[in-house]
Amino acid sequence: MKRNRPPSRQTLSALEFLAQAPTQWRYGLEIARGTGLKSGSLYPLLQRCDERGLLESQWLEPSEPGRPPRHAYRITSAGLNALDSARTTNAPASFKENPA
Amino acid sequence: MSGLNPLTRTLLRLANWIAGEPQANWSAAMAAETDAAGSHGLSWALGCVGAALRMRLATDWKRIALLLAFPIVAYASIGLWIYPVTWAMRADWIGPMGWAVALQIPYMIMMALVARFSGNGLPVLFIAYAAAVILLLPGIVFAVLFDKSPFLFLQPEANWLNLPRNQGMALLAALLAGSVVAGRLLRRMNLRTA
Repeated sequence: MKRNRPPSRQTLSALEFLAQAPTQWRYGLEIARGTGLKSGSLYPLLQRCDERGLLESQWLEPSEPGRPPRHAYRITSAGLNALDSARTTNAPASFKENPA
Repeated sequence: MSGLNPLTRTLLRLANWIAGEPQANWSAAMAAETDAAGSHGLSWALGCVGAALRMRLATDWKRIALLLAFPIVAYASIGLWIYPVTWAMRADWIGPMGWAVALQIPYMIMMALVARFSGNGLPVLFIAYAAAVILLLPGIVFAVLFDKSPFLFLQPEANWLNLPRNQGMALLAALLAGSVVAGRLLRRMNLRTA
């Protein structure tokens, strides 16, 4: 049985970053730079969000030839809803003060 | 990807191995970003190893806990099993050969279960861990409690699975190798029938 825990502060900060431009695909590196998360924390939470349907992912062709395709992420409507409910309920203080 | 230095590439391979086949998509995603991270590629790849560990633990924690606990449980069960088997031999219910064979039963069960439940990458970790527990732990206990060498099990007169050292080593190696091969065959058969 899957646990349905409320999103962590790190998850919320990643969702908040993606929610700044909900239609835009963002790379892992961009999310890491935008949120200050390291790769070791970022990918497990991206994976969890993907499994819960809070974001969607797809492979994008590289802009430069000879580079590998990159995995990009975009927030879903479920992710936006989760973000809204976190803002109105038990979100951390820093999160409430700085809504997207 | 070819622009990455050898250490970074090694870390990414390690992350891919730890994450396993079910997380291959995420391993590839992390590797692609490492390529884009430029001069920060090494620290990014180091984080990827941590991410792979966390992802594997999140999905496989029961199996990993089982594998970690298994040698200890097996060791204890072997210790308990020896009494009824020895009693049966003393009562002339079984001969010395039957006694030696019967003592292998817990090992066989242990290896069959490892072969059945071990996933990608885990047999190697398990073998290393089992070797540490089965061989080194008794050695350390002997060294601390009885003032004997911790490498007692490597001495020519050492008893391995109730067999002479070399035969016992060969038997254990065969059991371990057999469990890995059998596990792979079982997985292939399952994949074909699925």
